[in-house]
Amino acid sequence: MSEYEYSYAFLDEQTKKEIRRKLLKAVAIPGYQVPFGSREMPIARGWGTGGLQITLSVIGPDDILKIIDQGCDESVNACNLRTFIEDVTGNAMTYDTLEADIIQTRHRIPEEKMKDGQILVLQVPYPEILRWVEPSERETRRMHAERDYNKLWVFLYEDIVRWGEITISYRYPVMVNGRYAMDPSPIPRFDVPKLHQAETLFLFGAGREKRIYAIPPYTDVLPLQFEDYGFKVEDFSGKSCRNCGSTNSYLDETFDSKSGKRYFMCSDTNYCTKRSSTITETKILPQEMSI
Amino acid sequence: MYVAAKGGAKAISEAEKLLEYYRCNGESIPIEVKQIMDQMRLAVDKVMGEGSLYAPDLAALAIKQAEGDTIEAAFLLRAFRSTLPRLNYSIPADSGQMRILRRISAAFKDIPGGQFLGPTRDYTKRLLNFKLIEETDQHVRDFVAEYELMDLQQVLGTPLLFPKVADLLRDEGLIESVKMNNKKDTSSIQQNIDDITRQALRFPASRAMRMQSLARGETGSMMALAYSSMRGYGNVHPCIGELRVGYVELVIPHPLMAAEYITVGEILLTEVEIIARIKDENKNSRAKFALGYGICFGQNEIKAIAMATLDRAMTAVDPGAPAEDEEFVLYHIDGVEASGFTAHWKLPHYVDFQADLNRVRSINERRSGKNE
Amino acid sequence: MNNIDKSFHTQKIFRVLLNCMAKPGTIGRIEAIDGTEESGFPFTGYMFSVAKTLLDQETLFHVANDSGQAEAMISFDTMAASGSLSDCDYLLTSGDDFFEIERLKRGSWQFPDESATIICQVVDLFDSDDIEGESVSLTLKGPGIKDSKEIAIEGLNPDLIEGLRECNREFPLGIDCILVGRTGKICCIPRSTRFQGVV
Repeated sequence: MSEYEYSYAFLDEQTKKEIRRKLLKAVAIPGYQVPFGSREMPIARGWGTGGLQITLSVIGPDDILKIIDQGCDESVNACNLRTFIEDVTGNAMTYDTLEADIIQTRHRIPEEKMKDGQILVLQVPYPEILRWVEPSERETRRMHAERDYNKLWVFLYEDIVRWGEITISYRYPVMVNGRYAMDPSPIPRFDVPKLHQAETLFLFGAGREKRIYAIPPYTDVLPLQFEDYGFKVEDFSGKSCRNCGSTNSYLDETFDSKSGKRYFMCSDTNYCTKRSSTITETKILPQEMSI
Repeated sequence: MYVAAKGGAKAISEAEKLLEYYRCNGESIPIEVKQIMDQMRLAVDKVMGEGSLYAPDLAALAIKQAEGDTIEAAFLLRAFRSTLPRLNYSIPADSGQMRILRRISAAFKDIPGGQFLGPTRDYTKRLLNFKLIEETDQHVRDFVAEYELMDLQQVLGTPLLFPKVADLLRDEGLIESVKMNNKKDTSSIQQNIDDITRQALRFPASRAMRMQSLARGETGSMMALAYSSMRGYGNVHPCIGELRVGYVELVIPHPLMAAEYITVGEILLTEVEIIARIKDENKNSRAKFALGYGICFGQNEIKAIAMATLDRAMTAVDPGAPAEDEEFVLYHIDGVEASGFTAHWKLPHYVDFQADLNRVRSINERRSGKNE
Repeated sequence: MNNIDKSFHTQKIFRVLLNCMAKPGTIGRIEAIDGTEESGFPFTGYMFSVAKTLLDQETLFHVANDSGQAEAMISFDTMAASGSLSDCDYLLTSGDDFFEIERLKRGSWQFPDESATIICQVVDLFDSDDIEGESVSLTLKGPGIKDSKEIAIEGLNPDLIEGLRECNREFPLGIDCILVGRTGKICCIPRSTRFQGVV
């Protein structure tokens, strides 16, 4: 047992092959959830095993990898995943969004526009957008087959009647390639427009639910909305990043642990670092550790 | 450009050290894996079953590493299992040939071969035994020596074969015949039987998928769902036709010589067959019983009974209760998935929460701005 | 060659396939895996390499109009079982060959992914309509393509293109296509792509 050796990128060849076959099908049918034989990983279910399996099936020795959680490279779970992937691949790692070949992310799309040739792998807890309105998998699969999205539209409509607006904040439903309603993963509304007609390939992995799906570059990804109640992103007007001054990135609202004061910071830490280093070379980043 | 990780990575490594400290600072001598295997066999059996890997030594190691958290230990086994290559497939194991440790039937007062209580706590009085605090090496050795002497004399009178109770009813034509809905028959074994470690569950689930999911299911959740059925959310009164615990041989086809077989070992299994009434198919056909089947690694009777009960409950044509809903049962009894997702809420969700905050503030702004 | 090297080879080939399937009309290039230039194998080492990258004991494949030899070689190497035209997950064929494309699996409405993929050997692939020899020229539109993309394929039976269009008429049902040029060029046409052609 102590003689045991793991293959490159941990997964055995057969597992990688199955995931690769499924990725090709996913890309051929944008927005459709392909079932796959998700393996148990040394990381817990619900903590990114789907995204991890995609990354490990796709990665090669020359790929540079970036891993973020809530936009932050130093988030504890991002660190955990990074050390695991480093251990099983020996690949180079980076915090720089534009330097990475593959970016694995939880709940955010980086602020800097990703290019052709880069791949964004998103970790997905709920692959099924219709879960907002229907608990049965059997039923939701039928709904997708028949393009029966009435329940979802009614749900959005009832929100407007009750609250004056659609209340879904993250996991905002989108229509992909005019055919499949899709769950973009718990990214905020702010990030949804980044999926539409992008240069980048987006791969989505749900390990626990055992589904893979994809959005190729230059694909229509449109948030569900009504003519008189259009899709809106989060409003940060009047607020800016305490560190770099940004007023057009997604901001975390947080509290200074010593003074108790509320302040805002870019959620995308690499974007923030880059901006602040071009503003003032001697700027020191806050030392508080992000959990 | 790799920036040395600050903050997060250090926190993780400190947390790991602290964990280790909690495990080690009690001033007791380190537990041996063998001690867990020998003296906590039921925890080992539970972990093997939920970890879906028959390896008592590894299960014991996992229990030690997880400080007794059996769900965590099962997770360790599953993750390890994922790394193992699949070497072969056994021929169907014959539990009728089981080397019996324990074998009872609730349906009949006595059965061919007899009722054997075997090692069970069922009829013990649940009084804490304080003598165990003072137990010494010597006590244990003396007891074992004396027992082995005594037991040998009884063994000689024990029958070797225990026919299945269900077969008695089958011979009388009282058990319904079951239609299999596995994949199309092709020449190779692996194409023939669904494999939930290689394919995602889909519904309606094949019998193989159901059985595999249940056999590796978490004992507590299965017990809760089966209990609900017994109490009336669903309607299964699981009369135990037979419960057996014992060792079953595993046999594989010889890799080189056709029509030859090799026995690779034996595994401890708990097997339960429950008997339930079914509705008539039509008024003219014979009234029959249906079986519910439960099986798991090691000695884990609650789980096997629960499994057999759920097997029966999920055949309901019109599921009215959770235990009858195949999708509800199979999706929620996997301990590794359920515990992982339950725990994942501890991960940062501040971006998601910020998005929610934004919506709530937006609603309130509009409401306070409106003068309607 | 040890297992690590083989594993890197299939990974490289897969990345080209992924890139080309995600961006239909993009012409990629692969290297043949050592030992795939087999005498007696009716296709190039590039075709064999693509098969090695995708096939294993969980897939069924079919070789169009095969005497049995190609299937035996592929089965032996990948452990994949051979099946019929209507059963197979992967079909290997030559672009100038004939087979009944309408018999291939197109998936079901609930599981459109359970469909066949064609791995088709062609003579050559070109980025624009700089045509040499007998070619099919196509204008592609759809997901993965910015506005439109023109490609030319040499050594592809026009009936096959028409057959593919017909099979892919009811998206999401359909068949996905991997074209493999004689010199290792790759181009993919997933079912999401709409195309117009000139022969």
